[in-house]
Amino acid sequence: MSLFHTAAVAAVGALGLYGALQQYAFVRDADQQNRDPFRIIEIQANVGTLAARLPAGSEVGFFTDLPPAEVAARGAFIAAQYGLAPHLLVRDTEKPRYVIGVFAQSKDLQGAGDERGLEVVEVLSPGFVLFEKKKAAQ
Amino acid sequence: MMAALLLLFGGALGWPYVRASRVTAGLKPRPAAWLLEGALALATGWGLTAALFFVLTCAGLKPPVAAFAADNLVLLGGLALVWLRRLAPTPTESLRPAVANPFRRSWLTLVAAGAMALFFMTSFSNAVDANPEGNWDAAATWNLRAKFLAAPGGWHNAVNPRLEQAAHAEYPLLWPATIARVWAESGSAGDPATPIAAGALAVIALIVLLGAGVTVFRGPALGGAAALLLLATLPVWRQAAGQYADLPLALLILGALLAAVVAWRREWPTATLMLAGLLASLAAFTKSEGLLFCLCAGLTVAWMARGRAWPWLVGAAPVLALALVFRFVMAPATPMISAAMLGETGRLGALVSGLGVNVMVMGIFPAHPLLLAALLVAALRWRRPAELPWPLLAAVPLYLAAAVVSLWGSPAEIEWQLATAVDRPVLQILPALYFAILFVLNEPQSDPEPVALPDPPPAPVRRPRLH
Repeated sequence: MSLFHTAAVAAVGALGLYGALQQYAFVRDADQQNRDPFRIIEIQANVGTLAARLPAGSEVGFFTDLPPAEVAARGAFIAAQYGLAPHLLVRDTEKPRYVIGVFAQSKDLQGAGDERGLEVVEVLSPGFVLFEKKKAAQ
Repeated sequence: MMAALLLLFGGALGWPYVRASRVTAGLKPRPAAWLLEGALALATGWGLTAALFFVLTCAGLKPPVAAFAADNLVLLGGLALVWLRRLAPTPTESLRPAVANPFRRSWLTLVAAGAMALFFMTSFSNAVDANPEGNWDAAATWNLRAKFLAAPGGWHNAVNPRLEQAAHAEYPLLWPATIARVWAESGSAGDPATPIAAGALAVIALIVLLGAGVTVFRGPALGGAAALLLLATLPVWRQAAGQYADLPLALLILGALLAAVVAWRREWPTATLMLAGLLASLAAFTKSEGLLFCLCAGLTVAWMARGRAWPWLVGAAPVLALALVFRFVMAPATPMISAAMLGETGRLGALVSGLGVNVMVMGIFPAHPLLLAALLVAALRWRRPAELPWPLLAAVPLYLAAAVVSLWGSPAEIEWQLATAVDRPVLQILPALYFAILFVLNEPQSDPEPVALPDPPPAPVRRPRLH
């Protein structure tokens, strides 16, 4: 009985160690391929500076030229919302005074703003632009 | 460093509650009992300080004031409890059945689990280095809502129905409040060091709780095997640094089950049952699935303890009330179950099949944790059914079944559920499942020591015949 129990316990220990080695390599490879896939670190660093400048309880608008169903579009919104918190980010370009635009394709930033009655304030991060509602539109 | 210290301080505040419950009193070996007490204290302290911080923030206190007030109130409550219970009897009996021939090679699983833990922590460090802000849901849901809670008046946004669906404004707020409490106290909202440290401490506490919990019932060889099974589970590796609430929920679920099993072995002492109820209610305020577990645990405790189950409900009542008020009054109304969805049997088939796939890929063959568990079952065999609290252990499959039914009836799209949701209940309940599997096994045994035979009596001296 003792030998049988010892063999079973030793087998579990050895297999567990083998599994840990395999999992270590698996997770390391996955992490190396997915380093900040949604640019949350970069966007938070840039958008976060805006969050500190806004009055408490602000609502900021959001639009993008990315197809809404794409993961990248949702990732951009999530990263921008996380960077802006505790302010609220909403998919609306009419009511909020400030609006964040995320561009993957368009080069004409002011043209995109004009379509929505907005003017460019600053480029927060490559592809992330802060707009303000034009004076006449406010 | 500051984040880790504040998190450890929050955990230490739970120690008087665990001490007063006598849940670890008399358990042997004592080092395992101390580790068990520490892990339970961490879960209790984090839960109580976070729940109180949330209540005080909603009451209008500024987050730093609410955080320090919550810590002080939890400390005062704990000290009062210890003083009130100072004369209560302390159990002294061990809950580990006597073994004729104790196993002498427990070090095999303990050394293996220790080595695996080293690999695991190195992997955790690599994952943090690659993604310090965690995985998708960390920024989309958990840490985002923690940022809201850490800002003055920001708690409204944590439950704002205008939040994107990915933020899940309807999810309970215990885990975001745990992070926000530290952010508020250290004045470092958004610093990823806090969720990273919280994730590391939660997974360490989970491994310790499982290993020590099995050790006090079934000895160190199976305790080491329990930790080893958890470390052989791939989703634990992938989620530990993800900064999600599933592993903290698993910690609370396992703690509630362990405390209930101790209470069963000791004929349902009031204080231990109250701790079991408290931990289950903290699970209910951690994720919506935790509410399901709390219901399953309450039903199974009521089934076994009958009229003596009331302390469980008393322990659960305050935080459970908070979880229910949050769910039905504060959080945006979201349909939980749709009758139309329950009519679609194809969804159930897809979910069960998705669950099966997730179970298959939660380990790397031949080191799959369920295969390792099966090996132990084959070698050690079950204990006699009459010795086991089957209804309590049944909370584990009952929870899984309830989780599948809730996913089946959920109005969410099945593709989304299969991609992102179906693996969560498995991860949340796995530590409790490993505990249940190892709890029903016999301990390994060594051969009896060879008995030294007494010296044979001296041969009679034949005297020569004298003629």
